[in-house]
Amino acid sequence: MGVIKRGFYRLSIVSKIAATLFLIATLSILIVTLLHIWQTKHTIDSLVRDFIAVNIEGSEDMIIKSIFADDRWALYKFVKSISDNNFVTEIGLIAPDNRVIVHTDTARWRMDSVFGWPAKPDWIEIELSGHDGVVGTFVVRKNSTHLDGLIMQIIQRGVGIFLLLSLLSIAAGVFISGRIVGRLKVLLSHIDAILDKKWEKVGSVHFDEQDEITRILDAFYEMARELQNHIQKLGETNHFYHEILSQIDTTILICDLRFKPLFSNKTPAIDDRIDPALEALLADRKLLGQIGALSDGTLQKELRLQGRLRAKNLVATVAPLEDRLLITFANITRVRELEEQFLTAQTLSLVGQLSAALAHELKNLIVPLRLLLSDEEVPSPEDLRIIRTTTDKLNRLITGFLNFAKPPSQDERNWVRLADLIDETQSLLAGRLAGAHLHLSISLDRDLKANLSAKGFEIVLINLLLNAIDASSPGDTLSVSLFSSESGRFRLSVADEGSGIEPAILERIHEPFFTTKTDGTGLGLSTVYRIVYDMGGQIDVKSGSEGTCFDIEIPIDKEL
Amino acid sequence: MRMALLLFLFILCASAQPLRFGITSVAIKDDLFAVREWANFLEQKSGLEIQVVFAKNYDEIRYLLENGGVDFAYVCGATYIETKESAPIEVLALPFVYQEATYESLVIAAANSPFESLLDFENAHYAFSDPRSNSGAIVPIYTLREAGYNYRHFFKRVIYTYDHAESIQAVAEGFVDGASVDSIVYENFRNIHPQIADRVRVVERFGPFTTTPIVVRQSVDRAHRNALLLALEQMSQDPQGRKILERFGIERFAKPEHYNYDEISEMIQRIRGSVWE
Repeated sequence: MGVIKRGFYRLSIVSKIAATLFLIATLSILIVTLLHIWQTKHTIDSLVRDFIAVNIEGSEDMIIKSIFADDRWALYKFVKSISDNNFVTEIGLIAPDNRVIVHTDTARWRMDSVFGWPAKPDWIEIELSGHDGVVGTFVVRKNSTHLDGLIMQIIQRGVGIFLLLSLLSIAAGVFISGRIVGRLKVLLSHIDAILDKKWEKVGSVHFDEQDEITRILDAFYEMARELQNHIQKLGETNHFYHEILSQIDTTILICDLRFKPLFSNKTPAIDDRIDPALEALLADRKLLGQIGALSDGTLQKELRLQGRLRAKNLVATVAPLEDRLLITFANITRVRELEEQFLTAQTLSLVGQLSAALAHELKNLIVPLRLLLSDEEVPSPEDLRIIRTTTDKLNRLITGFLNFAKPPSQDERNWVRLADLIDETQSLLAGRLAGAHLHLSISLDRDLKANLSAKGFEIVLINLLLNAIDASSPGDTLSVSLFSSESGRFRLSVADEGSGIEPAILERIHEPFFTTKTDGTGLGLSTVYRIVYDMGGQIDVKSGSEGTCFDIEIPIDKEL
Repeated sequence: MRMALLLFLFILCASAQPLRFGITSVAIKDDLFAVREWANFLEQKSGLEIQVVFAKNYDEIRYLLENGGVDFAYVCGATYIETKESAPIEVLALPFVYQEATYESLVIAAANSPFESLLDFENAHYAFSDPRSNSGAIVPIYTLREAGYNYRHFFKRVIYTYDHAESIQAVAEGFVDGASVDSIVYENFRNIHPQIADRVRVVERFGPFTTTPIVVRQSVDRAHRNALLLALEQMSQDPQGRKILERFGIERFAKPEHYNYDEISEMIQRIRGSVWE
């Protein structure tokens, strides 16, 4: 039963209706047939009985007279006339003493023989009464075969007509349900198209029928059109806001309460910048506890992430958003860099001023001292050489101080072709490069001009190249490139293939007097930083195992 | 002249009254339409108006003949003998079969039955046609009597069909074991209903006896009697008449010079007292 039920449920609507109609038709045919058989049998029984009874009644006087006159032949002819049809096979007239008066089955029931009363259902008994009671009983045997055949004939015709009507009604049912299901299928395909967002496949279809389903379909198309418009508008709005969000430098991240990212304004949705940031955020156990207890308001934490080449500063803000968390990561690296640059510049400026004053005083003292030294007063040429070397070193040191303390004045600015300055520097250092067995790769924009101090630019370039030469091993290549970068700026890059600078040292390279060289003054890079900052430029250092690269960006014309 | 006028008036009066033709179903019930056609034929040929009167049995026809209920009738030889005792009638014509005005009384039984003579039917169901029929009752009663049997006790039961054809039918259907019938009717029946007759066979024959006559009351005008005889005799020469005769299984009607019903009369005399008294 369950199997039939499940099988039925799986059928299409048309099959269900057809199966139901077939079942109803079959059951109806069965019931009607059985009723028909019963009714027909009953009717035919009554008809046969009535037929015989009417015949007997019509000839009652003759029969009774014949019985009393013992006119067997007349009686025989009478029963014979009744049996001479298709409804009756045999008929007998039996006397009250059970003796056969006459019987059409002459071979079996001879006149005056004792009649054996049949107990079969297809026998009919009709008593014939005279004035003094029953004078005889007619015993009639129905022609069951013929009657059953007759019944079957009637039933066959009835069933045939009923079957035909049933088939017609099933066909009509299937046709109507087909028309209904056909339209429902159209509706279904359009719903599928909507689910698949294939709006072009959804369109009004004309149907001849103007019934409820067509009205539902029309209403559905109207609804689908409105839905499509709404979805389009929503998409446009989404796109609009997404564009806005994606333009924001701040990364906006929406997570569930377990910090699983659900949305990000950056594409790809969850970009590689988020995970480390989120990890760094989640590493703070204390903060996590605070976030857990956060019902409203926001939490903020500054994070410093060590990137592959440079560190990054982020401000993470966590705010509850219903059952989610809204986390933003604002990149403040540049702010921090500028702050550092400002501090460095201020420090350098102060040191410069002090150095200038000191150097001036030193120089004022040393120069006369040297002049005062006569050849006679020199104890020995050896001592003299040491004194001279020392004073030369002092002088170089002081010159360096002066270069640092008083960088080439902005007043010395001129429009110069930078390629020419690079060429000069290259000539200057050609001996050092050859001595160190290094190659120099230069790629230049030879037409690039800048309004700056040529001396300052040369000091920067020489210092960077000298550092690069010191960091390189024989056979390495130094790369110098010069191109215009962002609008109004040019980029000078100097790169070596050395072993790189350790992060701890990298953080301090701009400090004056910080040096890793045995005979270094620790003023070279600080001077470079000072000059570049004075020119309004920036320095970006990337250092790794494959080497170190100094990227310097300087406005072409600071005044602009 | 006066006599001639009276005779004419008499004929007119006589002609105004139709002649009543008595027929029993014993002999010809099988074909009542033929009887009507017969009467019409006789009317046409004799110029006399004829009215057919059907009688149920020979007793009734005898009564009608005695009381003027019919003027002429087709009866059994036995009925003629008995009626003649009480009423002035005479033979008008006799039917001829096989050139003879004789017929037989046949004992018949079912084709597959073992009977070989009338005497074999002891304790059997037997059919007589009419109690006053020569071939259908008197001959077997007489034969049994001669053999020392009273038919009432000899047979288990005797039924009367009042029709030779029906007696044949009763045997064919097995309602009775045997029956005595008129040979002319039997032969005619064979021709008309061969499939029924095939279920029956002749066990014994008695006769020949003079055929069943058409008798006429002597009170009927001689001219009319002659006219009727002429009409009956003309039947075998007329196509329509022949057709009617064929239906009855008869060749022609005629009044032979020599005939007698002595044998029948004797049988009646012999059994009288034992049958219907």
